[in-house]
Amino acid sequence: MGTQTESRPRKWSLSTVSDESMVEIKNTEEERTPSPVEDITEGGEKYRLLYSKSKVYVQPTAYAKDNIPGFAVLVKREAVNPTFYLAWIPESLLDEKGQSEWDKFIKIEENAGDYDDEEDAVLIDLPTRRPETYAFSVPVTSVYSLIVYPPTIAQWHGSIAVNLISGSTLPTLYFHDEESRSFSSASVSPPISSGSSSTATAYPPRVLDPNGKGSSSTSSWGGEDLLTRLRQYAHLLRSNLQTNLYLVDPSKADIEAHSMQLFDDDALDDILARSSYANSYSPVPAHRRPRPLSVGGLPQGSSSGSNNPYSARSSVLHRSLHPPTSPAGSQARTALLQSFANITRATRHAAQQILSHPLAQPIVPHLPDPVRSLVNANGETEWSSWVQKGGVGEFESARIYLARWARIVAEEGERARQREARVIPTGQAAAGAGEEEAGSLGVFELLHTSANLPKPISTRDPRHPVDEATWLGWFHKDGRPRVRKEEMKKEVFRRGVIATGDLRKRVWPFILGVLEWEATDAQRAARWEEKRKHYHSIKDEWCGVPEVFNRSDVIDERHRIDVDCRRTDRNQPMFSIPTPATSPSSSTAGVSDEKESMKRFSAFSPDLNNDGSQAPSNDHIERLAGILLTYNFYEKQLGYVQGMSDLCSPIYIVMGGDEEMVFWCFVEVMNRMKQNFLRDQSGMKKQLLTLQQLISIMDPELYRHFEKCDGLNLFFCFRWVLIAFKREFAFDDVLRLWEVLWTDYYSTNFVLFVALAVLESHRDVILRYLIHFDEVLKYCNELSMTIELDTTLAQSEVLFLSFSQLIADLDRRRAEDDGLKEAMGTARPSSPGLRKRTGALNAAEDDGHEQDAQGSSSQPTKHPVIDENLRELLRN
Amino acid sequence: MLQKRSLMKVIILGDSGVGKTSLMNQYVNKRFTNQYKATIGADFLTKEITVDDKQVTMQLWDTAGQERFQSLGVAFYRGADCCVLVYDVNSSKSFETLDSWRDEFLIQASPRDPENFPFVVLGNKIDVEENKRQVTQKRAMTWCQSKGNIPYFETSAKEAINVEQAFQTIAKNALQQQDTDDIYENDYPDPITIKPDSNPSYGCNC
Repeated sequence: MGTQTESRPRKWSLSTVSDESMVEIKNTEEERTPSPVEDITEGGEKYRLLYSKSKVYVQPTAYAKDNIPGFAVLVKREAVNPTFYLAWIPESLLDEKGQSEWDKFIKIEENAGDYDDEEDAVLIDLPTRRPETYAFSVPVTSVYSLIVYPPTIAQWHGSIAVNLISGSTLPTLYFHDEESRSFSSASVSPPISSGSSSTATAYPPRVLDPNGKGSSSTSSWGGEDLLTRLRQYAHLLRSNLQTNLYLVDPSKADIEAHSMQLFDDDALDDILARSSYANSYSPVPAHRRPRPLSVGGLPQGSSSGSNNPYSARSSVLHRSLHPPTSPAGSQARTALLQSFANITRATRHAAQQILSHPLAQPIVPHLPDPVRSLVNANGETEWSSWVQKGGVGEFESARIYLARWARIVAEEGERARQREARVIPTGQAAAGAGEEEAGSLGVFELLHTSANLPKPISTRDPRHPVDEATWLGWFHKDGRPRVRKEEMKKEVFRRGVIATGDLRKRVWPFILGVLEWEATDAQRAARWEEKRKHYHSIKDEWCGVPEVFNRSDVIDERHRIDVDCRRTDRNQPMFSIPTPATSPSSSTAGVSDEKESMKRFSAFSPDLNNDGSQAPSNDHIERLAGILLTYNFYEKQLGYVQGMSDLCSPIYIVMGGDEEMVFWCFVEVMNRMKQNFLRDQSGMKKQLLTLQQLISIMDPELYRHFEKCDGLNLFFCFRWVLIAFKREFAFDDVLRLWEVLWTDYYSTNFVLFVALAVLESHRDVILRYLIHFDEVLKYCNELSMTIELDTTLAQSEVLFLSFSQLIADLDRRRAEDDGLKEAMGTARPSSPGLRKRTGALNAAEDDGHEQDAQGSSSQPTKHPVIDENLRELLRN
Repeated sequence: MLQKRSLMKVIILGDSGVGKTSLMNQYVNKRFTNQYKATIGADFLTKEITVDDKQVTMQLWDTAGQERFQSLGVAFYRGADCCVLVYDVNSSKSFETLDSWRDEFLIQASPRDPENFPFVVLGNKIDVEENKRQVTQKRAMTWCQSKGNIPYFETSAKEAINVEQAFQTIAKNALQQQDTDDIYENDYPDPITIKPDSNPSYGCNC
């Protein structure tokens, strides 16, 4: 019984899960999403098989030879409140159980009607899931939606993709009805002889007639069959927004969103009708297509893109969205369809907002153009003409526009999903709170293909910041610490410092090392007094010394500082209030103290007459400028460089303008970041090179993309790194980010992992839409103020941990090989230390290529050389 | 009709605080605020314009004004069609550095024909009281003349004075530059009329 296919060894051990914001790689074995993808054999429990459908395939790659046959089943866990599961079990797992297990599944498939007969109850214990099998089982209640592609002429095998509330997407199921028993027994076609494993390429499968004629026979397609059965256990709502989308037990908001016609504007529909009517693979969502196209029953003509887009894996970190083997055209199509599918996840509001945005209207009818320009590297003329036709006021590159759009949709979808996930009680999710959080953050995981390293998780807990009580609890009465400095830093890294009150003002000097940790209050006070004096002695070098203050080089410096301070964080209350009546330039006539007068007579600005062309200053700005100038006298080599005012201003505000403390905290921050400001830019070059190498090892695909974009210089990350994301986050988030960075908990250069995390969060959009350096730059610049801090930090942590695992693993394997070689008497010719670094690019490229080679080849001798830059990242 | 490249790239250079970002935003977005932050790294704005009945997309690159960041310029300057040098008429220092900005640009962008590469000079912030002015129009124009008749405009990003006119000239010159580049590159068989006489408007329109 049963058409056994020989069980080939399966190499893939990973399945992808995608959600709106990013593509994730999940090791199925260690599934950690809050989605109750759980081990169904837990406790040896029996499940009642309700429905079974054979020859349902998972297609991990674009190659037919890789397809895995299995059973799509519905099972019921008997209990007072029974739970229903949707599952897919590969045949190979049944093979292990033997013929009797096979028989159970076949029996249920054949007796499709008698499922409620208690006597006939078929109990199965589902095989233990193993990472390589793709098997899954999920409670029906955890399913958010199904994307259904019935078979068409273009796509013989219809498919169903299962999206979970958690945002994960399970492997798409392909119904090979022509091989399936139920199909053969229900149809007039001769039964397929058992043992035939051919994937029926010899005859056309049943195809739903586009005119609906052929679909009269009931349950002709396995997928529809499954849906019919599913309806008995859940409410299935077919979306009006996208007719191949079925929502499972939809929320009220979703019912509203998906039941309504989004656009009532007929004129708009007319435009669409004209533009994309005949385009059978139009990326225009089905609901926006001319009405006559839609017919009763399952949707037609939307079968394109049913290549499993998650099947190809080409990155250590991520799987590509596109199967690399499929023709370019269909890749782009799939990608675009995918992004449209995201819309269905968003609320009605978001979709409406996006699609009805004035900019979107001229663009929507022309959407196929950018698709083509994606395919065509030199499609410049196409998109520019497209923009002209669209008459967009301010020019927007089509790709930047699409990229931004995709991002907005993804973000809105993500929010909607998180709301959803919060509402749905996690009934059987026995997952701990920490686990749940990691999942809700959408932390992506990465694994080295062959290493099978454990998946790191973020330890951050920003919802419970270090508060007054916790802080005080860390000290004895005399100020001596009860905990080690490392522990304090760890807690600050994990939780941050509470924003209310002035705790931050007291904590920062410790994190930065301005105040000593291992000391008593009295000792600290004494040392602080020294620092205070030291500060003033430096300041006095210029303050009240006209011959210095008005020296030409100092005037230049003052000018640079002044210009920048006047435009730094002016929306902060301390800096926004204009100078009160006692303006420094006006009322100093009778001041007796000469030094005070010196400080005030000219204000800070080097040239009184110059004031008019700059924004007005105030006392705090003057003081900030004074601190920066003093730093100039403390650190004589550097000079003031743009960006320093950005670094100093948050400290100034947190310290409430306490001049000496601001100065010494700033000194410590600069000790960390000085290299960014070196005259020859060598520091920034090194930083960006390291980031480049990091990308090459963690995400070679993205690396190659940047290479193609002429973007390996990573200048679009320049601002991020130079001033530690000061411009990318809202002010309060900057404070939270910086205190995390300053802990050096994992790495003294954790900021690069933050940069990597931001890039990774947007990699799909970047890979899909942005093909020129300027586009990437624009896109990255516009991410400013849109980045969610805590998600990003959690991702940064996971990336760091994965990175360190990867390095350790590579080192271990190299050591093993070296050991082997030594044993064989072969000398190893080169060591990493001797590796010449001729240029950033070469080194990184080597790493990238070697990494690739390493990933795919089984030669034990080839290991990527880990550049010293990368190793430095492991230092804390 | 020959397919023309429809994107023109314009680089805006000058000391920090002279108003590069403001000028750009005034031109593209018709907005002014004196609260633009110092530009870190680089950014650009784009605007669709019509020059001589041609639709062109102008890409305006704004870079950090501190000389220390100039070494990054090469990535941004490449392929430029025109370079705008901005100074603050109330700061002679910012005027005096124009020379080095120009030289630096020519080194880094290495245009095909440096002698004839189009520059435009903008003296910004003319809205500030006259008595604060440090660079006279005459001085600026003399310099521009000495550098091969660089077109010169006195502008105010704040009051939107001369901004439109200045950028029209910038666009024209950039387009002309593209045309000459095209001749170099494509070696068209049919003669294209080059008009060396069409000298850009010289002098300030105010």
